[in-house]
Amino acid sequence: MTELLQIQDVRKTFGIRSSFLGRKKDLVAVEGISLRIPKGRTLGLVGESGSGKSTLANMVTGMLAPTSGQVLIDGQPVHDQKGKVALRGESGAQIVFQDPYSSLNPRMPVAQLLAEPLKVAPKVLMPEREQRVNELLDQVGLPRSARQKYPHEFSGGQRQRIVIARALARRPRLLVCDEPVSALDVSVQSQILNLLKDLQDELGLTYLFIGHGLESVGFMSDEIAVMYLGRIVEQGPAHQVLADPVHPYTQALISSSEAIPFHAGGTVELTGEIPSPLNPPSGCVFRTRCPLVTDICAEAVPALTPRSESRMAACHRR
Amino acid sequence: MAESTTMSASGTGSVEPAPAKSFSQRSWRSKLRRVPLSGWIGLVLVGVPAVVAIFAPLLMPHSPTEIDPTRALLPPIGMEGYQPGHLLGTDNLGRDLLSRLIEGARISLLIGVLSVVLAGSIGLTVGLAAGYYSKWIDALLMRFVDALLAIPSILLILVILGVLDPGMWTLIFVLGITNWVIYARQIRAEVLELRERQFIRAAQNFGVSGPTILLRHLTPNVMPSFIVLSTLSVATVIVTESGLSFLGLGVQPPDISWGLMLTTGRDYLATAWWISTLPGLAITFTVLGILLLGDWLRDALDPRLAVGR
Repeated sequence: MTELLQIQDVRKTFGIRSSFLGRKKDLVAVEGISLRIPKGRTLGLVGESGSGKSTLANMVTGMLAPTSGQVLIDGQPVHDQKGKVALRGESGAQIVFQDPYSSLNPRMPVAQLLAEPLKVAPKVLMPEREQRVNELLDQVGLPRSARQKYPHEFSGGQRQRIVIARALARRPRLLVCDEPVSALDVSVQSQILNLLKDLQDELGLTYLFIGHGLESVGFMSDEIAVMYLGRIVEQGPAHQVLADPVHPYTQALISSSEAIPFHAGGTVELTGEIPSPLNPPSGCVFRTRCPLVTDICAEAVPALTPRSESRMAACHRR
Repeated sequence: MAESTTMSASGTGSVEPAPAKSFSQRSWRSKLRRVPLSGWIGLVLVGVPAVVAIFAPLLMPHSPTEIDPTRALLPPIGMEGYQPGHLLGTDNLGRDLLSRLIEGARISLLIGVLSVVLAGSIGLTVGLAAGYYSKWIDALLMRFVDALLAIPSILLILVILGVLDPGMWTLIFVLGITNWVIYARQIRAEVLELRERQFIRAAQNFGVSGPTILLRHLTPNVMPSFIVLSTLSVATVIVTESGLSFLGLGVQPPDISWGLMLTTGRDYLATAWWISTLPGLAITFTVLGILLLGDWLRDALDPRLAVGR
């Protein structure tokens, strides 16, 4: 199977000046991540806020240039040598944002919102543009009468349908979904997730699906990667990771989720907050909150090593 | 698709339902029907002086500059000593007040509107650019704005008027280039907030160019405050103009503006109050009308407020 998305040892740091005359410090948002998604599949990315998920997503869509490493979509680098976006339209990735309320311009009717990506060079001209807008509305299950309405006339779920339709306008093959349902009512969440699944089957889309809850990610994904403080701590096929998590952080995430029963070794509870990425702990970044911490954890950074045929984890415990 | 019930509920039954029409689908007639009372009042209060200003030569009963000392200080209708032919009385030189008010409407409104158009377009451009583009363009433009704000505007006006010949066009220019800073600051602040919204990021992600984002996304979203600022400025500009005319730096006789009339009547306030009171009332009602009109316009341009009632 060929990979549509390849993330190769990507690192992203931001220079932060803590005070006016202070020295610049590097905030490491993403540290040496490699991932690949085969065509037509979904990779789920899980982690708390501040774990670097969105930074990674922004590098895939081209909004941010990686400090080192590179992102390839179908073998083509997303950024050129100068860090400018090289892939646009169908060859690049499109993104579905978290909040459908702020991701639609309140002063544009739906037809105009959906047509906007089509007006960027190479332009899609008028009769075809009109057709494409109708096609998009059909695809996401909105009536044609929605064309002339404004975003505020829709519910959150309908708005997210508009956002998805707009992301699909240029027929991208890769869609980044940045927590697409976390701002929606629970009753609507499953409808949007099902829509995304249907669209994937229909159009052969590849998803990078980001979430902070395991329920939606588990439902959507073929494979799951768990992020903590800019690093991947565990990775593997979705059903295996959920049924038998290796890393204590994954275990804690699963035991905190009510929808997924967790049996391996009782519950694991997390205490405290995610540490500041400006001041990460030495050794294993998770050791400050790990219930199973030992001496070696403070000394050496655990590498992401294979645990079985298809799984990897970064933990000193065997 | 349970979530779509809210939308399809409005159009029940038939194949092609006729749901509650959205803003852009409504006819102009039904839009007009939705103009609130305050909007109508504003329309009348602005419309009357505007029409009067346009047709001024046809409406004036006398020449506004004709001096007749024998008919000086005549009172308006309804007062003792009223003389037919001078409906609103005369001023200290015997000039017909009604004719002067009509002629003054032209210059006062022209100054108010044109200087606001000038200030607004400079301010909007600078504000959008400073808010959207890189940090150092922002810093450069905003330090310039700060520098301008540090100089009292009346001082700046006096300096410029001291160099240029006073008159209507100079006044429009001066009021325009001293007032744009308030637009620039307000609009920059709003753009800074809007630019972080996801719909702007989405547009960038599609590859929409900077100028297009400014025009298509940011400008419509800063319009409400732009309109409010503009209407407020028309009001202040008309008042500032009267102040400058009082200092002899504004409109020069024989040109007439309401501000100039206001100041010429000040010596006669005790004996012939109508000379300054009438242009004062004209200013007050016009400004009130502009404010009401602006309020309505702001709401009418907002699709969120215009639909569903």
